[in-house]
Amino acid sequence: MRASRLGCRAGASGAAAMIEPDRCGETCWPALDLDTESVLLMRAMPADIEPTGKIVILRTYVGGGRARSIFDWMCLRPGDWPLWGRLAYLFGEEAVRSVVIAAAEREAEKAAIEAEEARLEEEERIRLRRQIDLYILDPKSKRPGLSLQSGDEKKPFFLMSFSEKWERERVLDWLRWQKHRFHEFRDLFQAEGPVALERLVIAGMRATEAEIRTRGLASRGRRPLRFWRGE
Amino acid sequence: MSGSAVEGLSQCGALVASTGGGDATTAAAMIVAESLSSIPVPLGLALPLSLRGGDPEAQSRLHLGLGFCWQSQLLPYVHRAIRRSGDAASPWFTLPPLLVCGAAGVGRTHFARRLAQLAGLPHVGLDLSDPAGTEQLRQRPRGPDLVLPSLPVLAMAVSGCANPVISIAGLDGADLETQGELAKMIDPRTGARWVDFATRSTVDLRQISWIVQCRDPSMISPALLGLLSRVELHWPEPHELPLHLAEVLAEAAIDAGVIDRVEHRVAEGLIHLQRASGSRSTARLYESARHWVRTAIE
Repeated sequence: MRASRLGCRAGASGAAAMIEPDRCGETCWPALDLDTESVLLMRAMPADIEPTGKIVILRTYVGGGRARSIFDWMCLRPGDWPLWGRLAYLFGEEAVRSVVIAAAEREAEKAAIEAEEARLEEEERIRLRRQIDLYILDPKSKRPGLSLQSGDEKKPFFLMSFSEKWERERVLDWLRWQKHRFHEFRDLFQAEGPVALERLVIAGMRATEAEIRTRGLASRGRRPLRFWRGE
Repeated sequence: MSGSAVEGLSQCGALVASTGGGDATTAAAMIVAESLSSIPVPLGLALPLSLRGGDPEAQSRLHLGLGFCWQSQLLPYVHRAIRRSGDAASPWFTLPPLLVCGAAGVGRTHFARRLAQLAGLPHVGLDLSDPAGTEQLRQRPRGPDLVLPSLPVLAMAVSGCANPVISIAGLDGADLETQGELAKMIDPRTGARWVDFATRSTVDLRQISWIVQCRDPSMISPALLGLLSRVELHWPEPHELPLHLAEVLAEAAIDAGVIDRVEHRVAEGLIHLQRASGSRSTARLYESARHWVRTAIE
C-alpha cells in the first residue's frame, strides 16, 4: 500500500491538512501532519457519534524531518494498524512510540546500515575486479599451467596447460611483463573465448622473442626471454 | 424530564430518574427490592440503585475501548446493547443473557471483565462447578446458620448498581435444580420479582447482564438454554493474537493499578506474553502478564 503523495485530505478537525493512506483501514489507520511533523492514528467512528466518520486517537510529534519516512513505513504495514490503535487506546502515546516509532527508526537505521554495507561491498567488488593475478600452477600428477584470475572471483577465468615445464616457463617469461594488459586479456576472453586469448598470448610472446633476437638480447636455448625484463 | 424532583419511588422495579438543572444528562436509577413483610429491606436495597453505562463517557469507552475484533459472533450483541444504552428511554447498559461457548482458555471471563470495566459496571463471577458457588446462587436454610443473600443481590447491594455484569461459570457441571434456579433469575417473567429469602424481599433482576459460560451446551437444560443467546468464542488467529495479548496485558496492568506506568515498556510486555501464548489459555496469559507487571513495573 503506497502512501498518498498527491494532495491530502482534511483531518477530522478540518483545520490541519493531513495525508492519509490511499486505502484507510476499517477501524484504524495512520495519518501524517506535515505542518507539525507529527504522525497520527485515526479511528473510524459511527456517523451518529462523529459526523466526519473518524477521530484522531493519537498524535505524536516526531520531528527532525522523520515524520514522512515513519508515516511511509506505517503505511506499508496495514496488518498492524488495528494493533497500534488498540495500544494507543489501552496504554497511551508512549506505547505507540515504543512499538511503532522506535521500530520504524530501528528499521530505517538497519536499512541505512545495510545500504552502507552494500555500498562498501560493491566498492570492494569493483576494487577486486580491477585486480587480475597471474598464477603458476604445478598440480600434482597434472600438467603444468598458467592462469589468470580476477580478484572478485574464486576461479581463474583463463587457464593455459603445457606438456613440459620449460614450455610454461617460456610463456611465463613474456606473460609476467604484460600485467598492464591483463584487463585487455580478460575483455578478449569474455568477447571471444579462451582460444582467442591463447593465440594472442602466444603471438605476443613470439613477436617479442623475434624483436629481442633482432636486438641481440635474446637468451640461448628454449627460453629466449629468460632475462628479458619487459623493456 | 425537567426539574429536580425524584419521581416514582414507591414501586419495586420502577424507573426513577432525576435530572440536574441545565444538564442534559439523565441519571437513571431504580428500586430493585420490595419487602415481603413489614421489615424494611436491608442493605440499602430499599433505596434507588443506579443504572449505569449510558453516560457519554461510558458510551465513548465502549465504542473506542472494546477490542475483541476477532470475536465476530459476540460483537453484534455488544454493539446493539451500546446503541440501546444511548437511547433516552433506557440510558443504561444491559446485555441480553448470553451463553458464551468455546474451548477452554478462549477468554470468556476476560471478555466479561473488560466489558464491565468499559461500561463502568461492577462485575462479579460465580462458579457453579464448586458447591460453594452453588450456595452463593441460593443458600439453603440450615437451622440457626445465617442465610446470606444470593450473590446477584449482594452484588447490587454492595455496588449500589441495579445492572451489574454477572459471569456464571461451571454450568456444565451444575445439576438440574441449580440450572432451574438460575433460569428463574434470568427469565424476565420470574426475574422481575425473584424471591430472596435472606433479605425477605422480592428483587428485580431484569437489568443484570448475564454472561453464562459453557463448554458443552448439551449439558444445559432446554429451559435455561431457551433464555440465552448463544455465541461462540474462539482463540485468535495468528495475525489477531497480538491484539489479544495487548488486551490481557492491559487487564493485568489495570488490576495491578499500574496502567499509567506500563506504556514505556509495552513492547517488552508483549514480547513476554508472546512466549506464553503457546498454551492457548487466556487465564495463563493473564497470570504471565501479572507476573511480568509485578517484576518489571511494580
